[in-house]
Amino acid sequence: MADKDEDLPRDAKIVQSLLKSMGVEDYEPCAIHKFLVLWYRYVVEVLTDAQVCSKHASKTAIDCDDVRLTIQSKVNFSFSQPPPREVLLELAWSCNKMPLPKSLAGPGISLPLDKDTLISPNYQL
Amino acid sequence: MDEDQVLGFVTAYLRKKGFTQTEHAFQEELQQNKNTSSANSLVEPDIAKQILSFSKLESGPARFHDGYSRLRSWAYSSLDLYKHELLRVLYPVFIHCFIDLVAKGHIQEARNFFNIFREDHDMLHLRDLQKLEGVLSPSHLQEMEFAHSLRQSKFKIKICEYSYELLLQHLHNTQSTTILGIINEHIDFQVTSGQPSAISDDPEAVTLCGSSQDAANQINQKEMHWGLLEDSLEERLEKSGALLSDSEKGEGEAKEGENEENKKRSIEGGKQGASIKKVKKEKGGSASGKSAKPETTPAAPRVKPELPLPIIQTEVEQSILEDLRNRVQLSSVALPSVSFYTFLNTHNGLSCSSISHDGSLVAGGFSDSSLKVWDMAKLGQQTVNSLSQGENDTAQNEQILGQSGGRRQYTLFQGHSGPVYAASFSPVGDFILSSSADSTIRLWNTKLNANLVCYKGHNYPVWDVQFSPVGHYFASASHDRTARIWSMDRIQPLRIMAGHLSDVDCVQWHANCNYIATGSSDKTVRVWDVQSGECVRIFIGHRSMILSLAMSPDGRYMASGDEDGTIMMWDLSSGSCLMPLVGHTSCVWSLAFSCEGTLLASGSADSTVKLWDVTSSAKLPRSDEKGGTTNRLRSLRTLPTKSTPVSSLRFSRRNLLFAAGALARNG
Repeated sequence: MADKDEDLPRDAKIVQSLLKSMGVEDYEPCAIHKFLVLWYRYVVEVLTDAQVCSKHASKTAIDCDDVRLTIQSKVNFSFSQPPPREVLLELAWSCNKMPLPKSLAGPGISLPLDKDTLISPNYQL
Repeated sequence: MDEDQVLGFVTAYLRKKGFTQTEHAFQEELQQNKNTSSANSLVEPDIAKQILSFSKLESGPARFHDGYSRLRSWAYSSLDLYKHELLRVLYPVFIHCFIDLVAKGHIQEARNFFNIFREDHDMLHLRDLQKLEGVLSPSHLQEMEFAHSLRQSKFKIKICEYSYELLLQHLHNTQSTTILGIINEHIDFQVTSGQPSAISDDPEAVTLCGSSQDAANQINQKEMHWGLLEDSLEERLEKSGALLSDSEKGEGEAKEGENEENKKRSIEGGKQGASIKKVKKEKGGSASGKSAKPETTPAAPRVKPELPLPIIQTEVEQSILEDLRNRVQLSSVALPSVSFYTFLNTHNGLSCSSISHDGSLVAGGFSDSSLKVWDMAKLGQQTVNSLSQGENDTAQNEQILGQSGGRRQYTLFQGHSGPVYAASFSPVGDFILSSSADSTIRLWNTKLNANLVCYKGHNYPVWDVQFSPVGHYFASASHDRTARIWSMDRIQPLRIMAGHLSDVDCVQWHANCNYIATGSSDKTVRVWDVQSGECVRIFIGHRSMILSLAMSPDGRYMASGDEDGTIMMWDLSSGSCLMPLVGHTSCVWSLAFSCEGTLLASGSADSTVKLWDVTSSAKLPRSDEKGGTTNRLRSLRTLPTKSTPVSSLRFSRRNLLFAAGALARNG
């Protein structure tokens, strides 16, 4: 079903203007479809979970707080950000205080222990 | 002072704050108390004027618009001599007017303001403007790191005395207190005496200073030992006198004799060793025969490796020494030959490429998670064979190029579950590392064609991986804002380098394997010490994310290329920028120094390879040089391709330049 620009549904037009505002001019038409799928799926998930939250709090309708709570709980699974700077600095500090290895194994291919490599057979007869 | 004025202030205040009920009550009581006498208040008329103006100040987003447009028209209409400097002031004022408008909640006016005045700044600051375009509410301002940092730090602008006076005069005359306030708060002028400088000659004309610059300056004071490794193959070759080097090496050789003792020294001024323990006779002979170059900065003393180095096997060593002996000497008059490998029919699937150190193996990482390695030496052999054989020879049929049937010409390595973003060959060429969006790094062996190890440590896509120049160790750069150093025989990283503000896009080892350099999307390049994991240098100056890095073979310089096409040459010991090399019009994907460090090759998305002269780029521009344009002419040659963005470059040990890229469809 080929849509001309004017025939696009409202949501698709919104996606188009979003892309344009971010400076993206060059994209394949299927990109809009993919965005729409992502958008729809995300909103449905958030709203379903928000409804569960509001029912648990015995409210009659979904509230702003329910939505906020749902989004916060989802944030660790999708759209996750790398850990904040302090966490990384601490991790680095604890890793960097280990001394460097003093010597290498003799000449030849040096690899981790067999259990850590991928060359051992992963099946049992 | 008038009773009416006081009433005016109070009413205006209440109205501004939105205390409508209080205002009504106030008006009512006013009516009642009209007849009673009021106390005289002694206030000076000046203060009255100030209070009145303040109450006016609090209202009207239009004053930002007016003030800015007045400043802009004045700057554009000023004398050409001062115009460039005055125009520099416009961008910070524009940004902060916009942010102030948004912070006060006048979204519509902010958007109008932004759209009307953004064209002036699009050229230089497009990316920043795109980021700010999305800021539409005060809460956005809070969350957005970029806006936050803009608020915190001040713009440093270099301006000459005359322009400064002109600016201040104009601002006082037109009484534009808002603009004056913004300039006062957010701009730090560095007033220099003398003539105004020409357009954008100085990359540091407008810099965002503040805590980041100070921190950088502090870090850049640390010591950094950038000398080459002791007992490297090159050194052994020179000692045996087999390599005829030019005078630069001559100086270095003399110092090798002096620095036999293994003491690390600081490199201020490049001090030589105090005692001469051994003077090698061959070196004495070769050093005297050279003519000294007028101004070569002496090399740093050789350093001990921090990491235990792998032992090189004898055959490998022999072949490397052979290569070093047969190396072609390159200079600005002797340009290299280039061999370009073009990937065809990739359908936009090639996400990275890499060439081995001797140029015989080419690897391509694809977005379908596969890594393909072509052995160019074998392919070349096959063509020779099939050409020399007659048609009657059926034994060669299975190796006819292009009609492979069941036989592929490349080795397919499958194992990743995400696009492969970087590939790196070990110096000997028997191992490849590949890093991918699935946050793992995999080690493959080219002789056994097998996946040996999978290194898991990052939790986010790994953008770059590099083997160290001696092999066995490698570094990775990831979206989680860290770079990690690994050893081939450990599945946990040895070191984690954290400190970048945004994801780390590229990583390179220093020639002495004691430091790694990382380039990031926060527009800085950092150099880290492998032993301690600390950052020893921060290089600020790029205007966009850094895509490629290269270290000079003598350990002194570093080149970095960014998304705009600017290449910057940095001096590692002082932490300063030597020269921005402008010429490319699009992203610089790859940089490579020639083996003696005299030439720099850069490959870019604008489908050209450019060769730059390092020795003249490295000289700091003297102030008495006439004509600023001569500083720019460091580009020796531009080699255009038909339509192939260059994704990787490598100088082989014999100084043959290899390049690789995927053929792009036109348009």
